[in-house]
Amino acid sequence: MIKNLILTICTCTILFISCTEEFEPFGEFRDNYVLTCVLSGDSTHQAAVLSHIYETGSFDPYDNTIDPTIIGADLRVWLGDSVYVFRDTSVTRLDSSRYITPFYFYYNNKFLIQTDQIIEVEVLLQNGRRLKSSSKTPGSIIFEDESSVIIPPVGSELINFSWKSHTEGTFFSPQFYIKYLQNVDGVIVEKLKLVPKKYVNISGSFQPVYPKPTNASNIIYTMDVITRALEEISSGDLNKRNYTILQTSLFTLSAFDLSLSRYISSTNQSFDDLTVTVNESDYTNIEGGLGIFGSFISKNYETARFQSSYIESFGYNFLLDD
Amino acid sequence: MNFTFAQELGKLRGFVTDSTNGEALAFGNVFIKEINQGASTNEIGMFIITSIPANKTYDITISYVGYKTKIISVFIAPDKLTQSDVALVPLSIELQTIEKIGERVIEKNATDISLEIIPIKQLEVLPLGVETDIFKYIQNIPGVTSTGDISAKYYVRGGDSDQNLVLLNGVTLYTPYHSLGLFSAVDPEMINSAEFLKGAFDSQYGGRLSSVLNILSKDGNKNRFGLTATVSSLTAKGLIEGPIPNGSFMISGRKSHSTDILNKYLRNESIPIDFYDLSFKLNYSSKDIFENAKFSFFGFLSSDVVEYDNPLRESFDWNNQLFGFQWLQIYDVPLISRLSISVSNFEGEVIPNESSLKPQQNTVNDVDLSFDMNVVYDNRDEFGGGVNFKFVETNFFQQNKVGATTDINQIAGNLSIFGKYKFLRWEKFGADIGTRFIITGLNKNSSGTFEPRINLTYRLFPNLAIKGAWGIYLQEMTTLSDEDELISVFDPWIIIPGELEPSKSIQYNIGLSYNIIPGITSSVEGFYKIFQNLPIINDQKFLASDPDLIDGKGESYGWEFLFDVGLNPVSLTAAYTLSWAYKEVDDWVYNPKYDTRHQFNTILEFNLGSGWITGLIWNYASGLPFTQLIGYYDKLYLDDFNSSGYDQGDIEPFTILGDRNLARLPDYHRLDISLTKRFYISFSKWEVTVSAINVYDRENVYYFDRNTGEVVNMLPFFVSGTIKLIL
Repeated sequence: MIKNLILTICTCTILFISCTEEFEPFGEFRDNYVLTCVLSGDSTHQAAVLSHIYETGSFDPYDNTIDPTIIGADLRVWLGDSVYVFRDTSVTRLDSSRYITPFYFYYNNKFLIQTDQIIEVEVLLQNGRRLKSSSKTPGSIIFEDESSVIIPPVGSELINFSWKSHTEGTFFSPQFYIKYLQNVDGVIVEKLKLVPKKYVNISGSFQPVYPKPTNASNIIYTMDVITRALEEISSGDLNKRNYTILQTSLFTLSAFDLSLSRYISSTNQSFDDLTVTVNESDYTNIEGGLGIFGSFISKNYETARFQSSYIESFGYNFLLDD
Repeated sequence: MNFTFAQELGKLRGFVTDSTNGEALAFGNVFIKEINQGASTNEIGMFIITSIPANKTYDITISYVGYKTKIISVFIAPDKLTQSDVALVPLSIELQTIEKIGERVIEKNATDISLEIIPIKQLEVLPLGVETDIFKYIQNIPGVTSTGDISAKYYVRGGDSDQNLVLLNGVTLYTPYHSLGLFSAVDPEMINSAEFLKGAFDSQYGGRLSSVLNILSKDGNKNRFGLTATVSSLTAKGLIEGPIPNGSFMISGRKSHSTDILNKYLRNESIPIDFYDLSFKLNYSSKDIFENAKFSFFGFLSSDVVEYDNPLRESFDWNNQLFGFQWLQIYDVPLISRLSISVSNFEGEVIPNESSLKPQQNTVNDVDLSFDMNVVYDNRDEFGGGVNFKFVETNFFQQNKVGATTDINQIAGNLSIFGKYKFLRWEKFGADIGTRFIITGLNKNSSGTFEPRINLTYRLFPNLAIKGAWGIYLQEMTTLSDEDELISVFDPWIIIPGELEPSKSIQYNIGLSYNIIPGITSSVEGFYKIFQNLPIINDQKFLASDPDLIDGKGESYGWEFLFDVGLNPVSLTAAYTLSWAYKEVDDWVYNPKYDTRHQFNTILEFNLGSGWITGLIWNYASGLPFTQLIGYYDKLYLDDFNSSGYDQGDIEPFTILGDRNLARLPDYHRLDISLTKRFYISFSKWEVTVSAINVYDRENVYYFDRNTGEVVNMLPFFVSGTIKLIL
């Protein structure tokens, strides 16, 4: 009986040990098109990219070195009753590590979006395929306190910028810059230092963590972070007098429309490192294809001002506003 | 002239226990050969036989595999309940046979379709991975599937894993897993008995659609103090038990000591998991307080922590706390009543530290008060009924990396009553007809809902019974994770929001049970389940205002074949399942990740003698569904948004997935073997088990990483072992 049992186990083992089946992780490729068009409220220069999806026969998409962008399509954007035709053009690609062709895109230099406008796009490809989408530009942003913020604040270690939008669900991108002048070999260069949201101590080295787009309606900077950012301006340069910090700093707030807000949210789903999921959601508002059609509007605020004694404590020059 | 005299009848009641420790022997057999009548012991070891012709002494045979069969003589007095308790003596190591319980051959009309008795003692000698695990065993039961051998989560007859009710001493255990769901948090060492209802559960059970795992912990040795210590490559655990005045106690604890072995489960990644579980039970029974009453106080605590040295990585912790008090009262009617008060809490938290991940928190506070009773009539019919009040508070908070928030806080109470009548007066026919009624529900749409259930058995021939069941089941809570999360840290529970209806399932079951010869049985069961109002996680939730859950529905059906041999020295269970499962969301029908068409499970246990036992498990399952990759596109990412110029963000390739779960992974199969040696050294009993997992190192595909193309396999070949000392 025992012999039979052992024999059965051995037979099964030999039988199965060589059974390794292949499986097909790739499904049937179906051509599809991708429109990426984010209209800006900052500039009349509007751009869009049209491309097709691609396959590589492998799991590495970088194996594809054939530029998937498409030119020659009819791309139009409607802004209220006005229609704007985009032209295709190309510029030299900055990063040619993957695609060696120029960077092809569509552009129009003749319009600027305002708040709360209906925008529409339609693309007619040469093969007759049509892509459509619409969105509504972001609503106006109200900056909560436009009065001056003194850095460092009296009796506090926190600098708070807060705002609100009438459109629920709007995402924002806040960016806080220190404006400074640097003397580079006798030439005065105007520069901006982006202040991180925080610094993380990794094995004694402080790494900056910059603010990402968020649906929060405020951002708080601690004085520790601002101090460290100021120190980094002259990092490695013993001559602190080469640097002049301007009294007024710059806070830029970009508001995304709801389509773009959903899109940003979709690319930032919260999965921890341990969770293994086999599903991934993708958001698109392009009818007949993939990609995104949306808009953003930015606004600058110059309400935060440095105190001279604070700046001078770093050894920097201090430049008062005109 | 003929005269007919009414025959005087009596009743026999008793408890069957283990003589060495006084533990109840659940699901044993008690038989009176002379009148061809018998009963099985229930989960507390009690049996009742009614309608026995009185004024006579009968030989009562009490049997329980692994114990010496005992025959006692009992005089049955007329119109009285005769009490006769029996303590069975375990067979010696040399003679110990294969445990084979749950064959309720004595009760010919038992309404037990879809009931599986888990052979707890058998678990210890079966190869079930690194740790002996009741959930891993359940995955071998026909009708039960999993999404891979890495996870202990199980799916029953096409239902989601959150549709399975896990009860510990009658109290709901919300997240009964350790180590990212790799193991059950319930240590088999502290289990006295466990029954698994994979469908057709009666009206006593509510709150879940698919299955009930009813675990009863040990009472503790009533005769002497005892200690059991076990060491495996993952944990060290101990159990202390002993008598106290008018009662007994049991304390069991388990703690991870090395998680190196978990690398086999987690792609060779070292994860700093630290976990423990602790359970205890105190029993008290004294005639001075209440005659025939038993009071129990029990608790269960489990905790898992994952903490990295790297501050850029998040930390995780989750824990269960469960406490209960139970008053079991046995009356002479005969009637049993049970009053239970319990608290079951779950807390889970993802602490982001300096990572970009946002915190995630889930708490569940469940306070339960229930009373139920069961009366056995002279004609063997039974009536059961009860009332249950459950107060539940759930809180869930989650943000994605850009602040889209899910914040759900709910407090609600469920007041339900149930009643069931078991029609058992005819020897060949049994019926269990009952209903639950939700007076007020956790989900506001549940109130005033009936859940009727019918369970029938008809014995066509002495060795062949036909069984059937129908029922409506409601579920008011759900987890915010689904089967696509092959590994999840923990499953957050919430009450199904009032915008959605409670989940509902209508189930049909039919079966045949055939006792081929004594010791060899076979059964066939068919099931058809309709799922309505399934809360499906909204994968298009991108803004806080988007709904977290959307409405779905489902359907599953299949056939299960079971062949069971219990002939010393061999125990063999072979099961085949042919099943289909579908889900439908937004008019799109797909097979859920756990849908497997063919499944074949074999469990073989062989007593080699001289204390040697070998176990073998071979599993086969046809390929699980997966979603194929159909291409890529260059996608704009705005994480590092730059408002100036066209280059507003980064362009990176994005993987495009095809239609959901349209393709199938290769078939799964795996052979595990274990060898156990039981022996004595002086007064101590030892048990050494060595298990070889995936003996022929089959590369079973778990999933493929769509970003890297890496094919991630399930468990490779490895060897694990445990040493157990019993004093």
